[in-house]
Amino acid sequence: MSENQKVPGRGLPPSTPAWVKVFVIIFIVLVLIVVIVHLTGFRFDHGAGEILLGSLASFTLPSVQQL
Amino acid sequence: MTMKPSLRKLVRTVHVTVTVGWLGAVAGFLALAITGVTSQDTQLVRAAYLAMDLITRFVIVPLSLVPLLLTGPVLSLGTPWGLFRHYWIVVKLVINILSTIILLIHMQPISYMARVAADGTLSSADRGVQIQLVVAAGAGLLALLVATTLAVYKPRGMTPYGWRKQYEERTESSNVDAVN
Repeated sequence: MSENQKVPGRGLPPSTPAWVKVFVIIFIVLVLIVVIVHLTGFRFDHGAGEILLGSLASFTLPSVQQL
Repeated sequence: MTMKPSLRKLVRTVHVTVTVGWLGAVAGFLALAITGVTSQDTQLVRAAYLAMDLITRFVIVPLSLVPLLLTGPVLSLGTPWGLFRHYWIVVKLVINILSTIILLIHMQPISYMARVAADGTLSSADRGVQIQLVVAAGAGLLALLVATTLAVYKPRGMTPYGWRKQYEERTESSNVDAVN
């Protein structure tokens, strides 16, 4: 890169940093997941959500009386 | 327009306090949401959903609006950082806007669960809403952790707009120097 391109306003502006590109890709993937979930009529109580939280649900908190 | 250092410090203190408080409140909300899904104690589950409704209305929503509408823009526009000059600030702004929108969308299921808990009519049919609140709170907490990390590390990267503005400012200051 020539010296002129490092000065703001002269030459090309710096390219988008890699971390921003990663963020944009993650954001697009998340939006697609949300859209697909809503279009397919997915419900958390009859699907992967239940599986996802299955191990969590097997963990039971003590009752107030036990505390 | 640049703020005086004392005013900037005050706004920054309010901004950090409010944003970290928002993070903590969402962590508390997540703990209550998980309790609502996992606990076998009906009284505890009812108390959890009533508490979630109160925390959302009186803590999380106000704490989410202050940095988005007040301290964030004031800090950005009142300092050389700007609002659209650096990628990390733009990403943080997008995260804050989306988090607040998702939070406001979830006000309805939160109110519904609190009403069901108050009436004592909580049933297995509400399982979907219960899990939805856990997932939303977990995602919200993750997003806020990312925003906090960006604010601390301030990763490099200037937007084309920031690049142009910096050049204009440098040109203006060199012209002033030349006149003097």
